[in-house]
Amino acid sequence: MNKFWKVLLASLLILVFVAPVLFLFIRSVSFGWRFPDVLPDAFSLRGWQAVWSDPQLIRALWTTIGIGTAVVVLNYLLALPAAYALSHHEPRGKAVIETVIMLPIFVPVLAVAMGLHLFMIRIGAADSWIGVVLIHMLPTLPYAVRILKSGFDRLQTDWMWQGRTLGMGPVRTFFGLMLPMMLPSLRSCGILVFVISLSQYVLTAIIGGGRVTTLPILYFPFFSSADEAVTASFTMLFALLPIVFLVLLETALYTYHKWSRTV
Amino acid sequence: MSSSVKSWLLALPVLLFMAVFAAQGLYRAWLESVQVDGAGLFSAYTELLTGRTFWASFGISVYVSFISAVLSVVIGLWLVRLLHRYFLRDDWKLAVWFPMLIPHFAAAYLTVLFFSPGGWFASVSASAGLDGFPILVNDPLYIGVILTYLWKEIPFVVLMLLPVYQELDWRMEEAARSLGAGAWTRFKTVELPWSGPVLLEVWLILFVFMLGAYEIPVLLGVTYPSMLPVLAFEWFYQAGWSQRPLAQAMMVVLTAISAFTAFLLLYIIQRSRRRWLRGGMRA
Amino acid sequence: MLEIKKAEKQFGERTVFSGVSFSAEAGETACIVGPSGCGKTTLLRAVAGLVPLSDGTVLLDGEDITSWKAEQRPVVLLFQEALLFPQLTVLENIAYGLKYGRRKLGRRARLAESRAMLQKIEMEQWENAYPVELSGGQKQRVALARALVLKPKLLLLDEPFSSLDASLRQSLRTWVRSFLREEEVTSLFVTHDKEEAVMMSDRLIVMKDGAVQQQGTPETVYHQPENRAAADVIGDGLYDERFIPASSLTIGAADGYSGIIEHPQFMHGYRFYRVNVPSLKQTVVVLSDTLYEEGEAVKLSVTEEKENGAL
Repeated sequence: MNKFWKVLLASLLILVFVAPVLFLFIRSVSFGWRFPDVLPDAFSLRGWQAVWSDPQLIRALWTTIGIGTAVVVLNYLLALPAAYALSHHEPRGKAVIETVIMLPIFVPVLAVAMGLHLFMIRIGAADSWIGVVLIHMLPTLPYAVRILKSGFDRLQTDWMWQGRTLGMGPVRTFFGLMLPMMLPSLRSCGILVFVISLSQYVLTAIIGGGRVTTLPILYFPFFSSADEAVTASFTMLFALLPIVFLVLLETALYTYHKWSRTV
Repeated sequence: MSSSVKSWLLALPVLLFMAVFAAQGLYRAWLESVQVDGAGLFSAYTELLTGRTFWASFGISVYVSFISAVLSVVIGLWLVRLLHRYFLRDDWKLAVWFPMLIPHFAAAYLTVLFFSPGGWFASVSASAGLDGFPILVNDPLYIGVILTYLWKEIPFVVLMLLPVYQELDWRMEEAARSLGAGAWTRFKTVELPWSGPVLLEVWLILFVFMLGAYEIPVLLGVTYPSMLPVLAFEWFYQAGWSQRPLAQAMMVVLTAISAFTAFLLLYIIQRSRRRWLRGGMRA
Repeated sequence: MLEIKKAEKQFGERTVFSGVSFSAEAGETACIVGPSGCGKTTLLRAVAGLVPLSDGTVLLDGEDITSWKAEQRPVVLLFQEALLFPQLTVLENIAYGLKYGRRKLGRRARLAESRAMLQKIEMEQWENAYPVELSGGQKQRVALARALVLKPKLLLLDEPFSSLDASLRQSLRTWVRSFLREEEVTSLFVTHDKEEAVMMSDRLIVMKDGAVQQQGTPETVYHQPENRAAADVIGDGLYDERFIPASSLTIGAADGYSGIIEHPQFMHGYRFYRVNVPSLKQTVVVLSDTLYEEGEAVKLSVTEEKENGAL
């Protein structure tokens, strides 16, 4: 295959998978772009102003980021030990553990959420952000374990034994040596979990009961609104949030990496 | 402490979470689906399975999920083979993964922007003097839903499949060529034994996910027939919660179908591979 | 019969080999010997059709197959590792080419021929085993059977014993050699091991720096390397404008080449010394029953009568 075809294929991939989001951005800053105009003729920031000046939306933005971050942290806490056990040991009944962890991937999560609705009300977790965080754990946890497990699979265990023989305790070996080497996996795990949490409408709607207003809860009524610039801006916000989160995550991981060197 | 005990302890938080939430949720859905006073234990199921609405939704759900999952897997496989062959070292192939960062409903809006009757493609075709742009969004054939799923899930397939192709022993392919095997045979005997199980598993994940997903069909589907989760959500919140047992019964049926498909496929994958991965015909 | 004419291969700016010409008669085992990086493996892959030649032609029984695809050539390549299909049993592996490949046969004929081949490699009892259950040597035997059952006009072998341990390598070599003779297979063998090359071949081709240095019977090439490069690859001796075989060198004379004893070596019940000759930038292994220290300076003298390997 020569260079021409390579460039053509590359352009095609970018056109299909990335360009639509650029198009969305242009849509969000265009003015009066209506059928059947192929190109916009005026630009304006009106859509974005509408989004930023809505106090309810800004509150929802913080709720969403807060819930997403909590879901990511909780995923790390639960998934890391399990992933480590599955990767570095061959426990009896490993298949059972794996099946149970993968359960939410192989059954509809909606069924679980509907079943839990009354229970959540009873334990007081319904209509609160705690309940929403817990229900967001369901579609994320299997992926978190999976990604972290393959991260642990790639780790060279010799390294850790090196640490142990040099007199590092198991805790220091884990936090000082192993986790820093897991950074790539922690990063992909974090971003994927955040995006999945960001994508939940129906689980939040059922368990949050309309009290926990995340961005998707506000977004759905907007979806078929006639004001395209505003809807496009709002949609664009969802594309930007993972990027913002990625920057925050990078900063956190970088700080951790620095710290781990001083241990 | 034995390694097994330690592993179980390490996995315990996740297992507990799954038991307290996932398993309990399913159990309670089951309980609510059978607790109908006086009308008989399984009356909700009888009502569900004899109603025409359910079967219409069932049909459209299976159709959309099956087609979307198959197309995603096939196109994803084709892309991975292409990417693997020509872009092994180019990092920008990660561009393919970009849609994974976009929530499903945002992707649905992209479909509206491009494919709706007032969308960009309609504009382009109208400017080119062509009339009658087909209705592809909120259409009874759910083409908009399928397109959105493809855009979102093909990158997922690529993500899952690329490691398999990177770890394949490509000298096997040369050995097969040297023995005179054509392209299809080589695909079947060199690649498929490794990629097949992953393809099946990814198909399964996608199929089950789409069967139970609410967001895209509610935005891009039609009211009749709506996909099962949309119908269930509607029944779940119907006045006075009177239809709740029906909604729960539907979810139980959906769970049973998903779990059965999963069990069947995972069993087939396991059985076909255990033989030649570990041997065992002879000691 | 295989004929290679002026074969040349370039990867971008780099020339892997050029001007390579040689031939092998039907039923013969030709062997290319050379250090790693001399282009021999690439040449073999080009003959198999897995990489295209930049220039030159490959003739097989007088037919020009230079532009044929690998899967169409009546040629099978055996790799360093057996590369059996892990999901197929031993019998299915042997029948692979008969089922999907160039020589397609019906089920009955296919199984009959594969079983006959299985018998020839003395592995009948492994018919239904999977490759994961076989040892390294057994895998290579199955790979050989899988190739030969196709009755290729030419069999190519790329250091097929290099992944095996020493004793197994020795016995499998002997076995493969007699097997190829019995079956009268025309074959081209590639190795960096001169002992293996001399033992396996009817015709020896010495390659170095991307060119053929010498070819002929193993006997001639071993005893009379024509140039320094050929002597480096195959000869046991020194090269100083002409080849001086090790068998005509004696340690301990008053004059001759100045050398330094590197270390003793014991082979076939005799004591040898590895001697470094700085003036020629060569080392040579010479027989001696005298005791020398490591690092000791000695003289190597040439005894003409002992030439041509007569000890």
